[in-house]
Amino acid sequence: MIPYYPQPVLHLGPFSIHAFGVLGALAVLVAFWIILRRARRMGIAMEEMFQFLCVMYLCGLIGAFFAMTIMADPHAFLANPGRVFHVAVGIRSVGGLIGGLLAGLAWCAYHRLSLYETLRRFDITLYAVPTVWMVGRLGCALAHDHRGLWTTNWIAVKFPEGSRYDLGLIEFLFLIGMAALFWALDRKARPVGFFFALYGVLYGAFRIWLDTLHAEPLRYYEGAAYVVIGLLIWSMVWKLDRPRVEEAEAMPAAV
Amino acid sequence: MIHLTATTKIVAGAVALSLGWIVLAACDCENSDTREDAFPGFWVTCIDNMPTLMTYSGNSPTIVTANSSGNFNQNEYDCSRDSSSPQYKNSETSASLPLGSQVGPSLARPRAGGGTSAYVPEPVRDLPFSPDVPPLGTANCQASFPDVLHTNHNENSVTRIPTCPFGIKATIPVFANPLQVAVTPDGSTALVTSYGPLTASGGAVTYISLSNNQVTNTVMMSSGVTPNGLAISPDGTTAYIGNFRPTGQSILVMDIASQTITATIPNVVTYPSGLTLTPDGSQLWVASPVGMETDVLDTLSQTIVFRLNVQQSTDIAFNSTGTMAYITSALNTPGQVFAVNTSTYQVVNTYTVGNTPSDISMSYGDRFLVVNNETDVIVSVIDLQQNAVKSVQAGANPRGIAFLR
Repeated sequence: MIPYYPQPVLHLGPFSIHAFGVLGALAVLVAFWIILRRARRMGIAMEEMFQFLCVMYLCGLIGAFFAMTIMADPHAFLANPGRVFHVAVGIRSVGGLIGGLLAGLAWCAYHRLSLYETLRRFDITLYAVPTVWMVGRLGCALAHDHRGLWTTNWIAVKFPEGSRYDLGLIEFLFLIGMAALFWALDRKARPVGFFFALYGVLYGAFRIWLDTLHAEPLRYYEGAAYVVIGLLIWSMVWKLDRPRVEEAEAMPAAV
Repeated sequence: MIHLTATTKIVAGAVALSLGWIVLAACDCENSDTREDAFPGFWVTCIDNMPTLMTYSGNSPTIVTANSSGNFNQNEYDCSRDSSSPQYKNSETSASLPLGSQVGPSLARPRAGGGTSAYVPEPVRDLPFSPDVPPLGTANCQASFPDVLHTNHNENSVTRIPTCPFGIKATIPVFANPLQVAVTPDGSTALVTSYGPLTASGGAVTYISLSNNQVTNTVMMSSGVTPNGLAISPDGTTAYIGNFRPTGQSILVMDIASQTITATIPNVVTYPSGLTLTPDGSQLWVASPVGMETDVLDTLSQTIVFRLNVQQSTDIAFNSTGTMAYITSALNTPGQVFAVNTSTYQVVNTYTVGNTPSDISMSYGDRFLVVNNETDVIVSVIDLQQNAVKSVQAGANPRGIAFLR
């Protein structure tokens, strides 16, 4: 079993800097670094991609914040919707996903980008997410805030209240593998949308499984949302990619 | 020199600000429930044998006051009997809660880690933590003695039987194949689980008003949901119902007032049958007549916290302080009752009863355990003081026992 260590905290005068916060910010910086580098390689203007990324990130953050505040206590929210502006209870990834996607789509629509170009930007972004998420989830693993079912399994963490699954740690380990897989797959050219779709399906399926270890009532819908979006993109990958393949195949004959 | 547009500069600034917020303000990510979130409000604990009002600040227990203040009256609590758990002196009068109202999920009593402090959340502190002992000099038979409700599985009915003198007060028709019955703490309502048709097309939970012995509602379950085990929380708000299935088995959590299922706890022992809450409502013990274990669930987190190696368990009873559990097992012939220490989960005593024990109930000041034995058609009575077991003949298919207070 894995020993339990409290989250490292650095006290600087009136401020307390937690490992989760530092790793969260680091994850954002890693995201910008990977995505902008990849965008430049793909021939997309850096500033344009930077704007796209900033809008997605900021709206994702707002979505995650609102989702947590609303979903933590829906009755309280319905009774007083204004509480989202003065009650801070954390962030929720499904809100970040929805907020980021909607903002990204809105940005692409505003700039009149084609479906292909839109998907290309999302694909560049989603390629980086396993690595970025891995850094963020390391913060969760250190904060021990995803307590799972009680167990004596070898991967259990010996929490003060007893040994149980640490879901942040399990997800962190999974994302190491997923990031490595993405890196390996990227060694060969892939159709646009490939990483977006693969991320949705793989990560969604994992989240559905992870929910079975959750101490809270099951909420498969979060994992299912990822899978559905992944499959949707997968179908678009085929539609968008096929004409290009046919075009490429037809090219020698035309020449 | 990099030239950025004004828009880019604005969003870059916003991103930088958000990074600062993340570093300085974020100490947690999703599901960041603190103990304060999980146990809002107040509770009373004993510190240096003095009742002390406590609350959570984040994850830290904090003393609100060690003196009587506001609605908190130290004289209402007694730390002399148990230095780790204060007793609410008005517990036997069902006093209204003096510190406030129900606080949502805090129905369970957090397990103390030892030492001199224990947690008795406000909603459950007026439970009868002391044994329900009849007063000295009580006659052998009084009209005030409790009635018993008994399900008749094959006759689709529930019988109300006065215990002194014995007789039949009422026979109440219920939905097909009733299995278990439980009474709300205020004695106003009985809930009955019915398996329903043997095709497993869906059972029901029947509400019976005990003031007139009439069915007030029958809550039908969806197809494939076949209720069996039944337990009602000490505050009378929640019923736990075992969905008696070989696969897809679960515990259904039902809000008694609204008569709706509010949660489902999956992956419990197969064919969950005997559901029993500890007296403080913090744990739900789940027995199964064909299962290879007996599950202990935490009612707050709605998760399994321990799996006891008691096979083919059929029902569970606790003493009134919740320190001992008594589990009937049909694994051997004749059947057995295992006495389990609830702190260590160790079996400390074993009693031999009739064949295929099906139900067990504690009565009369923690002295007697009453056990239905289905195959033998007898009722065993275990005298815990005398450490003796006696048996009496019962009617066909004895199933379900409940005492009315």
